[in-house]
Amino acid sequence: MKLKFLSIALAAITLFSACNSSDQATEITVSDTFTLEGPLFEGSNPAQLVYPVDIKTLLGDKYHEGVKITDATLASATISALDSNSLSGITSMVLSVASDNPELKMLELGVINPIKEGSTNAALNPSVEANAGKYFQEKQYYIILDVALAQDLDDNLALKADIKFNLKHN
Amino acid sequence: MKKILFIAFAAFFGTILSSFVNQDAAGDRLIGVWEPSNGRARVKVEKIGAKYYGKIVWLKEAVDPVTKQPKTDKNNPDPNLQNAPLKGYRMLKDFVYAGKDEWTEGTIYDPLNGSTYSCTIKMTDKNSLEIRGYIGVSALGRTDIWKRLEVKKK
Repeated sequence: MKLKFLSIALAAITLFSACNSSDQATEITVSDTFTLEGPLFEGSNPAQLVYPVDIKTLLGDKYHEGVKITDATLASATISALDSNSLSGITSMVLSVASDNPELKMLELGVINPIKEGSTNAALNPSVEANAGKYFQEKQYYIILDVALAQDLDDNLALKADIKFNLKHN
Repeated sequence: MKKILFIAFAAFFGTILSSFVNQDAAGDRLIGVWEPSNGRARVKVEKIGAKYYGKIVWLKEAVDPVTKQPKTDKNNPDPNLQNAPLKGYRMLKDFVYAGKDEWTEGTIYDPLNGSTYSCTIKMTDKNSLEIRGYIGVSALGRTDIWKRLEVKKK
């Protein structure tokens, strides 16, 4: 009986490893600009991008019929100022993803707090748990950058984002 | 005959379109600033895409008594997100307007213990919400009354 259980367990582990070994990894970069339209107020101000998912373009020569992205984790996210040379006045930033699909819940992907005074760019600390794999099975989703300001700002604020995801797919 | 058919189609699609617009407007009544019954925070509800989210915009005790710094989400189960500022944190997420003054499919986050609960919102009048957080089934939960905060326009 014990032997039978062990055989089944071994077969299951072998099958699991075989499935895993067929997974491929691809790193993609989303480079875009977040624009926050002024007047902006002290505290957290959101900016969002609509990100259309085009798996064919994302995976390039790794694309094949029936490909499915299972995991998407944030590798890095760097935010830099466009209008001025520094991020002065910004105290923290949080990067999240959201979808119109009721089954997909908003995920926080990374955060930086505090931002050093005079910094020209900020590298967010990626979440260790958030897996946005299901978002890449949608037609589109939203990338949200929450920017916390130390004081009110009358002008617009434009921030360049370079967001790298590690994708796992079959 | 063609003209009648055209008018019938136009009326049909017009009715459908207007019901979507009305549904949107009804759902948007949730947008605003709300205060839980304990008065310790204020939460601003906004719309992202088709869903509603509420972020903390004010805290009665905004500074951590130990660190003397602005409070962070120190109970977040994800250690890399624990230094996210609590002011600005979205504690209500992913609400969809279900009709009949109810928003469902959402979650509520309790920063005091880092737990996330399923949640439904019922608007009992234009300035009052019943926020019900629960685990598993709605019967096993707790309801709080939130009041709309009147924002003075300049």
